[in-house]
Formats: sequence, C-alpha cells, structure tokens
Amino acid sequence: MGIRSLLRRVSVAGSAAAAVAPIYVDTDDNRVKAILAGSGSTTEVILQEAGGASVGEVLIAARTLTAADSGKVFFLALAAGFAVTLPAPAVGLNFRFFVQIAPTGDYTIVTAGAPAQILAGQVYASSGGDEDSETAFTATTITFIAAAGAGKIGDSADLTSDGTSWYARVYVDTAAGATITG
Amino acid sequence: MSGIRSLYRGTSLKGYASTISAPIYVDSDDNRVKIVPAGSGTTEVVLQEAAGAGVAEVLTAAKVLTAADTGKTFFLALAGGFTVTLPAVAMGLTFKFFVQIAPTTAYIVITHADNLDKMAGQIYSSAGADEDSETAFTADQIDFVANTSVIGDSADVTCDGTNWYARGWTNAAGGMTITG
Repeated sequence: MGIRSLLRRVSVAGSAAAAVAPIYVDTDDNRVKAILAGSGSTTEVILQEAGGASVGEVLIAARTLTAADSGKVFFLALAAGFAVTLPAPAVGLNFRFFVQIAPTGDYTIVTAGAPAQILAGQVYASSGGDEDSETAFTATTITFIAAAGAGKIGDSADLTSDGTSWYARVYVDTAAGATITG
Repeated sequence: MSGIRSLYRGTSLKGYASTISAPIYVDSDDNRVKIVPAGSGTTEVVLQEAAGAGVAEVLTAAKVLTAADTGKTFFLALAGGFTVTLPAVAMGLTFKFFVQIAPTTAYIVITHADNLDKMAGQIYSSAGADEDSETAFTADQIDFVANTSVIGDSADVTCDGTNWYARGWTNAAGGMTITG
C-alpha cells in the first residue's frame, strides 16, 4: 500500500531521532519539509515547486527576504526603485532578480546583519565592456543603476550563499548598468 | 514505526485535499512528485528537489515544451538544428538550454504562438564583443546561430507570467541573437 497523504500544518507533529525524520507539508508555502533534528526548529525544505520555488514574485516595494524565499525569482517592478534585503547567509540559499520595469531610482539588493561586507561577484554587460567586480567578500550592495537610463528591462542578478558569504553574478545590457559595492 | 516509507504512484492521486491533509503522489506519467493543495486533483503542484531541477533531457529534434517541463535543462544535439517552442506564459516557468552539438543550421527557442513579442533579454560573449539585446518585450526567439554558436553556448529563459526574460552566453561574437 502506498502513502496517500501527508500531514499538512504549520508545524510538525513528532520529533526527529536517529531513525526518524518527520516529514510534512507546510501550510504556509505548501512545500514538503523534513525535520532533521529536534522537535521542529531545524527544518529543511526537501521538495518545492518545480522551477525553483513557487516561484516567481513581482516586487513593487522594498522587501526583506527570508530563507523560505530561497529559489524564488523576483521581478523588480517599480520605476522609482527600492531596496531588497537578503537574509542571513545559509548554505545553498539562492535568489534571482530580473528588472521588469527600468528604474528611474536605483534598485538595490543589500546584505543584512554584521558584518555586512560579505558579498563578492562580477557584473557582465551585453555591450562587452569592462564591468564592476568585487574579488573579495568586501561588498554589501548590488545596484541596478537608474542614472542615465543605465538599468534596463531584462537586467538580472543571481545570488548564492555558501553559508558565510554571498556570490553574485549580475548581467546588464548597458555599460555600468549595475555595480557591486561595499 | 514513524516516518514515510513510500509514496503512491499512479496517473492520478488518491484522496483529496483538506485543511489538514495534502495528497502527494508520484505521477507515473513523468515520475515527478506532485502535491494537491486544494480540491480533488485539478490543482496540482509539481515538486522537485529543493534548489535544483531534478531533470535534464537531450533533444535531437524539434520539441514543444509544456509547463510540466519547467526547471529542466535541455541539451541541443542535432547539427541540423531544430526549433524548441516555449509553453504559454505562466509565472515562474524557467528553462535552460546548452548546445551539445554545434549547429550547422540554427537552434531556435521560440515563444508560444499566442505570446509573440513577449521576450526581452541579453547575450553575453566570452569574446568580449558588444552582443545582441532586447531591452523591451519585443522579441520572439533566441537563435543559436549556425556555424558560429559552439558547444557550451547556453541560454536560460524565465517567465513573470506575462513576458519572458532571456539570457544567453556564447563563445564567439554573434553566436546568439534575440530577435522579434
């Protein structure tokens, strides 16, 4: 006989042990999660919506992300711009951003907490220029630049964490369309 | 004993969703784990391993993708080229393509016929050249250009529910284009 359904609720029933890892569907996000240790404070998402999280979300205002947002694609959609704050680093966390509306005020993606200088990465331009980069973990902010119409629809950024720091790859249309700064 | 040992596998699920249960099963059509968060089965959500697409596929002929293909990586593997058609737009759909065999006729990734002029994006070249881009949603297709695109060239496309965002990485100048 197969399993027909899993318990669905905001918290797990039971506790983890050496031979048991409770698994449940979280009613908050419909993701399948396992409790690998203890009674519920250590959860790990083991299944999520195909495509990498439910999974896209259009942002029209400032937003502070959490670990539960990992895997999502965010579309930046306010011409005046705003800031997106990353969660604390945790291994495997990843986010993707696309400019949906070209900015007249900067879009920024910023690290949180202290130390905040935990971001390294590179900017690549379709125009083929020599773009900004940080080759040590000394940055805090990715900026899609509004000035002179530099930031364009389709500009994007991928961020991944190793548990301590953030790695950024930023892609733009125009020279100096984005920066990575401390 | 506690813990889940196995999941039901079939073409449809058993049971129905309620406030305290969410049927989950392995679809025998595609071996993907699916959850039904509401009702008796018409609202399915495909699940996969967190932070990764569980699947990849080598293409040797034209293919029309569906929403169920989201998250997959496709390897383009016919020198004579072919066309891959994207599904209708839907939030979060994403696909990745790699050139496995360099094309002597272009590989084309094209939007669904109902979604023409719904693509923007940029091409980046290892050669450092100024490559093609579309900074408005006015394009329909990505081309891996015949006799210029090489093994390892790649693209990803992502949908916001209305439009497609394309990114292409190529070795040689002019190896890829995004056009209307």
